[in-house]
Amino acid sequence: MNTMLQEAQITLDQLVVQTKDLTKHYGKIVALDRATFSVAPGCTGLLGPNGAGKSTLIKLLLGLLTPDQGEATIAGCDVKTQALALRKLVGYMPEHDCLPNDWLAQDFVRYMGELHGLPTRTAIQRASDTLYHVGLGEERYRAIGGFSTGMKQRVKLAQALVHDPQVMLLDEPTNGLDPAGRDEMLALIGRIAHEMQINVILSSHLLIDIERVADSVVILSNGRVIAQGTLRELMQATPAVTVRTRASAAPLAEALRKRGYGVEVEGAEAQVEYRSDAVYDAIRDAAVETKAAIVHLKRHILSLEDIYLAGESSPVAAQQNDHVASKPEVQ
Amino acid sequence: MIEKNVSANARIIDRGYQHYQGTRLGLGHSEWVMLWAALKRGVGLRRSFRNKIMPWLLIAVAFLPPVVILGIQVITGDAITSPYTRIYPRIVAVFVLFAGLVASDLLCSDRRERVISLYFSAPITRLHYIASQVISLVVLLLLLTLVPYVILFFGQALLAPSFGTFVSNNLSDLWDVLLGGTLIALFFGTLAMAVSAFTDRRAYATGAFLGLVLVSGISGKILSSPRLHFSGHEWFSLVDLLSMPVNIVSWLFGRTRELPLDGSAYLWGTLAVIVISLALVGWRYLKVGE
Repeated sequence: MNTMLQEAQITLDQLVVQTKDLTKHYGKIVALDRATFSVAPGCTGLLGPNGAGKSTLIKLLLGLLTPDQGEATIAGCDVKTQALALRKLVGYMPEHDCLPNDWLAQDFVRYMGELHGLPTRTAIQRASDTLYHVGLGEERYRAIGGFSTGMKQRVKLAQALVHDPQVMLLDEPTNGLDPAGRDEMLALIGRIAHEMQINVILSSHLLIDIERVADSVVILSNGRVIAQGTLRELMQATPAVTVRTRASAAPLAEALRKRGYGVEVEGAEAQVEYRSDAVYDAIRDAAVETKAAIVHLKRHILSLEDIYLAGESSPVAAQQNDHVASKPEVQ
Repeated sequence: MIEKNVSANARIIDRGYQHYQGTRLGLGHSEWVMLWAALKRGVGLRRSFRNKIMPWLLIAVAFLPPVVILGIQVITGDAITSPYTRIYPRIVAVFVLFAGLVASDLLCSDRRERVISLYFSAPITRLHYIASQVISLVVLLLLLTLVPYVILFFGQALLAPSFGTFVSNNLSDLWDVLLGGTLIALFFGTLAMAVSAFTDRRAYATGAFLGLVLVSGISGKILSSPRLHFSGHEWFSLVDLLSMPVNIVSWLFGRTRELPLDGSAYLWGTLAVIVISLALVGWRYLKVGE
């Protein structure tokens, strides 16, 4: 087992998760359809509406479900053949309530640490430390049943963190929290990813949560990956620059077309194809050539919402909508 | 007394988050951790007082007959020979109640509170989880079905004129108690676990188990009664789940005249119930937690 673990150790320049054609059906329903993506170290958002396949993907990555097709590795471990080894390196925070009400927080977090292979003395020490880090240092000897929703979410986070995982899978960690609690939880997740240097995969249907803490994002819709990359890459992947002129933009558009750019014109406004920053020089030269007076020039930076909506309405996604339904509840 | 210059230099150091570089233990450690936690849970340790009352009350009741017998022997000097066949049929209800209460506590709460999905995200298998829960219940039941009678045996040996002579003359009793007590614990432990695996509500599980054992006991006794004049009525004594493992004790101690069937039939019946119960628990947990 130790040899397997040593082999499974990842360094920061290695990918945290890699999947290829990962597919999972529940009967005739496709929960995950040929999902291929990779996750780099840091905090990655797993974004998608309810029923998009996020929880199924997380359970596949934990080795709790077996994929019908395709393959995946997490922290260097194959999810099909090294399920037990990978779970020592991964922390999981489920979406739903999953805490025993009559346990003390300290006892439960320690117990989860021991189940993940920590020796008893270490587990006791780390349980106290971890509860302190999630802000429950003073409350750790209270029964979990008496905790508020926010405190319970922190206990869930602590039990996923106690064994010092290489990767944490957090399924909708802000569910049921009020705005202040959500802010605190996201700050905590940000600390885990960026200060504690633990890779985090954060599943959420809330764009704002992902935008706030994630470095990169994988967007799922109806079981398919519709976009992936760093937030910077995705948001800057704008296909066009908007140019507004005082008069008709048609002459300017024609001059740009001659320079090899695709342009769409509507009155005084032109959408010029963006390939690189060289487009700005081309627009300047075309404006000089056609004596066009430019009153507005802007490259539109996409929000995560734009990317998400574009993916949702793409032909691929639309085609999927015809035959892919959301997954059923599994007992 | 703290010196002034020491307190002036005192600092609170935030160690920050510490990564763990030590050894990660294997499945054997996880299994032991689960087993120990279930044992503590079964008797209410580190839980509220309410959770301690019933288990400890039943354990106390289970120890009562040997204590009384030994007390009488101390006072009167008269030894009761082979008291086991008289005690087990009378105390079996305590074993049943203990098994019903603890099994539902061990299995139902984990599923009802959905903690089980967290446990299965740890490096353990379903088999390890089930094994730890079943073993812990059987071990706790042995505290009721075996330990008092082993104490009784050695208590009687200590009160006998010669400890060595008593032990050597009655050694077969000790083996019979060990075998009988273990089979009773296995029988009621696995059966209670099988019933608890089918619901996540503790009250339903305990009620269903007690109902099953009680109804089967009454119907088995009625149908196997010699007053019913139909052939093969004695086979209905195998329906009686309340008496089945206790009948083995009677058989082991040679009191076969009290049994409607040959004692080996109850042994096979008990083993069959244990195997079927374990299979049912395993089947129920194939998909739990996904």
